[in-house]
Amino acid sequence: MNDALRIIKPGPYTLLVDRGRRRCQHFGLAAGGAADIHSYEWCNRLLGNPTNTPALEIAAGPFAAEFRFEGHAALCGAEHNAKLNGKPVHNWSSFSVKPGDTLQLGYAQSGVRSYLGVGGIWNVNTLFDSCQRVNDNGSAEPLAPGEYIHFSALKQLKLNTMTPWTQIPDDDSALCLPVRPSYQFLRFPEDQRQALVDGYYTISPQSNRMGYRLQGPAVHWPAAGIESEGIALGAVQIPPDGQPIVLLNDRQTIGGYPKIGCVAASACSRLTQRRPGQKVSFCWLDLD
Amino acid sequence: MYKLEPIAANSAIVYITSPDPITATGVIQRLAAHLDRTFADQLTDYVPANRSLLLQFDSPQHCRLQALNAAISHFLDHADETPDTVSRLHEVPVLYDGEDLYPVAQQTGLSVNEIIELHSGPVYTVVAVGFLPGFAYLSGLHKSLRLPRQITPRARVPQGSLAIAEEYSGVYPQASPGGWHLLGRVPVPLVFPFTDLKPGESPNRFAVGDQVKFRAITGADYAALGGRRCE
Repeated sequence: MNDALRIIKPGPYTLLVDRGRRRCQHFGLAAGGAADIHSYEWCNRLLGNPTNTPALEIAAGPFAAEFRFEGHAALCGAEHNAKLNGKPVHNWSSFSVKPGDTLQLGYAQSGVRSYLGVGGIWNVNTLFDSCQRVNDNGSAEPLAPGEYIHFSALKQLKLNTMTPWTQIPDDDSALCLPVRPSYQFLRFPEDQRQALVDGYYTISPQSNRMGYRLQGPAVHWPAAGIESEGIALGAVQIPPDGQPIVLLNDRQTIGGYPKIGCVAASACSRLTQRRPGQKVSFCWLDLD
Repeated sequence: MYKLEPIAANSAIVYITSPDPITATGVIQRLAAHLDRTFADQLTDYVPANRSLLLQFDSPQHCRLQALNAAISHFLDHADETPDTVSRLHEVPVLYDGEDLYPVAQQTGLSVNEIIELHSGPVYTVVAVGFLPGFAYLSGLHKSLRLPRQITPRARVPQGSLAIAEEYSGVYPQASPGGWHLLGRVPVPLVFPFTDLKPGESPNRFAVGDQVKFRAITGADYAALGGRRCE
């Protein structure tokens, strides 16, 4: 149990994540969970870890950590020009590490978040079935410089693995978010529903794991507020200024703004890898 | 009466259409407990609110509207037989010295003493928990105290602030931005440290369905109960 990862430089926002908390939203606590669940799951799959094994979610970079064990690690997600002891390592791949090896990630060149996993059993505290750390005010607690994260690494010899290229998304490409009409959809006038899917929206710098704020054609809600109700992942909330907000993993559990539908979960993962200034569009999900 | 609507691939929402919010709260609370038992591990989370219950399943395959409709109808048909979930009554001490007492007095035409009497009179019902972990929406506010939210929300409302807006009362479990009118301060904690929780245990003093009665206290009582000085 002396195997560890030592955080040298955590970067602006690095979290310990998994699939998220369960059975906590009725207490007002967000579920959390890896923002890009696709990249997170590939990271653990490459290492042969069970689903829901913790990983580090590294937003933006730069990041540096020292491996204090012999075994395997994997990196999936944003392109950070990762280097192991100064030599490039492949993204979307696992690689072998030994004590003293140092991994460095630069600023994200494409995408936002990288997932760093290690092969083995993590020794971390859990809350509501999740390794994610949370302050008593409900906000996430990022990793700190100098911190050690402990686990028992798998020692047996294992080949390096890579993600099949068909499973590697291109986060520089145009993204259309499929929206399932739900919540107050039927109470939005026809021309307002059309406005959402006609234009392009630019991702605002005020976008984070709680929600992505979009700037573009306004969608108007003709009525007063609604009764507060539970908010599902991907809900497209329409505040009074008509600029949509796609609500994500760390969203508030209930809210009183109208919602026109829900973005499919797989598209939420892709959205969280888009950067401020990138454009996205919406399309209605055809349910037939 | 209810409506069940799909929301996303793995979630659905139940709207209770009964007219009175407090009756709806009781139904939602018992329905949540019933569905929690019926769908056990498939149901990963649920969010009760004033008139609705959001249900989230672990996979789209488990979010089956037909099975849900059957379970909900069965529950409502036999609702009379299900005993009321034990709802707790909390007596909460308040020092009524909030920053907005005088503005509220001006807007309502009431004196400060009348505001305190009207506010501490009723027994409130928790109809939803959210916005912040542990923030309870308390229904039962006297009609003459109902005011719209402030136009410009405060950047920081101190921890323990008792506030009102529209038909609700609430206590901020921790400091936060907020647009409600501040009437006073509560010296006792409303959320408990997550590190002390047992599995499944609530971190909050208040749960949906609980009843809350406020009791006016003096500044000396407030200090004796461990209340913090105004920040």
